[in-house]
Amino acid sequence: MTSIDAPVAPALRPATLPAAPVGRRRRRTRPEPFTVASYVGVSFFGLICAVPFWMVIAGSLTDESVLSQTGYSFWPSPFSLAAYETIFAGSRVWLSYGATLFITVVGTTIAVAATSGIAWVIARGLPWASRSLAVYAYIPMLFTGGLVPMYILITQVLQLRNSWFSVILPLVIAPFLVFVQVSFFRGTPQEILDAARIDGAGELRVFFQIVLPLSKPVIAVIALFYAVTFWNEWFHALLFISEPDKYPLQLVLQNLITSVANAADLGSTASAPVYQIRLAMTVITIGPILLAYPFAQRYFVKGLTLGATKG
Amino acid sequence: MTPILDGAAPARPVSRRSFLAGSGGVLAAAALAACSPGAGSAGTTYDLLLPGDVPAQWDRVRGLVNAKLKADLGFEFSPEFINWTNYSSQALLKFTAGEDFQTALSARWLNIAQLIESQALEPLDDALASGDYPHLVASVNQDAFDANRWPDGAIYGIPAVNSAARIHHHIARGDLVDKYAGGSIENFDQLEKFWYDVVQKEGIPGYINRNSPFDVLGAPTGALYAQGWETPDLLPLYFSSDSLMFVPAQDAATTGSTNAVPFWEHAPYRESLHRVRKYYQDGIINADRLNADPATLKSQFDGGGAATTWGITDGLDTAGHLDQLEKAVPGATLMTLLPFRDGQSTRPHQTFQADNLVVVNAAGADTAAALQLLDWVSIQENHDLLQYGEEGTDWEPVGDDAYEPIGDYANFPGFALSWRIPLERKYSRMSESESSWFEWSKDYNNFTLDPFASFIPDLTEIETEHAQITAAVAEFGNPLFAGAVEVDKGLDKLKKAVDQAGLAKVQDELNRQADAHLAGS
Repeated sequence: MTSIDAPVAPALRPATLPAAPVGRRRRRTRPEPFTVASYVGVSFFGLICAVPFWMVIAGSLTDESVLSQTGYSFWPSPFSLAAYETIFAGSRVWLSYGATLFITVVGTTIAVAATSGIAWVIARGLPWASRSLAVYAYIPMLFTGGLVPMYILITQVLQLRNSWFSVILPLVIAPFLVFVQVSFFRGTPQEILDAARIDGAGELRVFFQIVLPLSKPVIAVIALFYAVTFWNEWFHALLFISEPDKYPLQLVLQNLITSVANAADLGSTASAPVYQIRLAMTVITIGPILLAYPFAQRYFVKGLTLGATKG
Repeated sequence: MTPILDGAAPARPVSRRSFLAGSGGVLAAAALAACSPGAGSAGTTYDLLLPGDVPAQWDRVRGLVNAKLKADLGFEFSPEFINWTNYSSQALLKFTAGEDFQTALSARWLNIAQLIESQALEPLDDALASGDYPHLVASVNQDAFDANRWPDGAIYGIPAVNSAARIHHHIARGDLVDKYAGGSIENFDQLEKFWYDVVQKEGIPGYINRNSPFDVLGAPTGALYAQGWETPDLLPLYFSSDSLMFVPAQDAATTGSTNAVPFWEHAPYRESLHRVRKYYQDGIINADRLNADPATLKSQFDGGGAATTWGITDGLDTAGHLDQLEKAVPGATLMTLLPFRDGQSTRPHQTFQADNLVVVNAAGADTAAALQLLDWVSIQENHDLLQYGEEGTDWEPVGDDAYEPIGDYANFPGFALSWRIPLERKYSRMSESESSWFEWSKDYNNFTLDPFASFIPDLTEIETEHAQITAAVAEFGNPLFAGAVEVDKGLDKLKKAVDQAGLAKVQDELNRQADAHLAGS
């Protein structure tokens, strides 16, 4: 098989290029009004998002006695780490971190593999499979089987009670993301695929060695969507996981919000700082997934817009 | 071989081998993990549903309980704790799915009507009469069983109560009562004056609670319902507690004619709505009643952020607040307030319908074992082990009927399994006032049996109208009960909405059923 050569990078800029005119330099120092307005608008919006987040952080570091009396404040005064000490004193948070990591990593892996597979088959336009698979993927966007049938399926047919896969499996195919990926796959140049086939590549090889490497942007995007979904998932855990040692982080947080007594279960005594712990748990819970965004950001716009415009 | 991609995005192709290996690994892990933990309970371990949170130190205490349970009865139990917010829907889902857990908590304010209608609950009359469960029968008053019979005459739940009647009241800061009310509050007028003094001089609300019609309308007492502390003889009628309240005629029992009218036609209720509105505007009650959650309010009260909060005569006023309050406000004390005009000689009307019923799942793995468990926890030694933990490690007996917690084990939801009036121990630091009122509440003779005591209306005929009226009450009634809207305008909106929803039909149906009840009793 021959491989597809990358375009040759352009030669270095000739040394004789004229210097930039002085007037052009001046224009750079006077940005367009629209740009200024955009920056102001985006900065303002960013501030609106950042302030509540900061107040959650500040609240988690404010002493419980003041917090319960006066509510949120912009600066943590008096400063207190009691909530974080309480949370990390017991094993509950560590165990739930482990559970959430498992659900997120394994769930995202399975979901990306399943979504990519079904999306590629749909995108290829095979007369005997693509349409039926598209309908199969599309129907759950409109209808669901309902809570009780799903509950019976998971607990009695699949026997997945108290298994993290009871949280993972219901979410491994998101129809919207399937169609985003289908759109992206359809934008793959047919010439490249034809060239590979002429060179003797089978369909699996085309998929693994041509399509997937070309689809990194969209894979990164759907992986991020799935990762965030799995990270934030608590409802299926609430339904199917009853052993506290297997609770994911979000269910621990949800229980904590609904009841003060759960604070005692984090490893300290019944007199744990409840207000503070709720805010500290929020910080602990959202922190790691926020870190995923910078890594995926460079693919984000490209992955979504290519899928959207080339469909 | 040259790279496949364009120069801007060089890629390392995913090899088929590594992809397949990765996928295989994930699937193998999936299969292993999926198979191992979900195998369900072992042969002699029975599941139960309990509301609330897993108590601290639960694994250790459960081990002790199971060891004794296995030695005595040959099986173990494995309760599943479901937090309160989700308990009702989760329990209903599990019943609907036909899960084989043994027992659960239910009641009219949960979903017992639906469960009985769908035959999801085991009738218990024959078992209770069989003589096989002597400790259970001996520890629950026959009056309690009789008051909790369903209209078909059957008993579907064991009343898990620790007092004869649960009277809504106030838990007050004793140190503030000393400071502003001379150490005692004997009636509602004094209580109101105390609230205003506290708001003016301490800058904290007088009373905090989440929004509840029972605070305002009373049944028969309500924290903000003044008339209920004068003459606690009115229990409103309703198809469900989140729907519209009706007031029966005062002489219904003698005339046989219920003649129930919507709550706004009862003058003391209208007066109460205006009073609550005034409290709202004056800062006596918390302004966030409509959306405040119980945990936040408890934390606020325990942090010294209010003068009084809601309580019920279940013996948990002091135990639930004192430790944390003392940490936040050194020197603070607690007091249980029931400002009846006639003090403890009052005989409030009661239905004796239990707030908590332990029901046996008809689809349970072994209904006989479920009743054996209920009988087993009706023995003092077993009851104490489950409810207070290991003696000497978790608690010490104080006198004959009290306990002092010395460990972290706490908050077992005995109300969903093991509460029995003769077996309950009092918290050793229970305030004198709470102790007095708690003892008073245990005696059935201190209450008057309401003529509608065993009346449980059936909403089959008016389900649609009832649902629409419930929605109207949620939209227009709740702001009224919170004091958040002007009373006359709010009532006009509520009346209009419930009229359109079918008030007349619902009212007629309620009166028809209530009259039939009076005729049959």
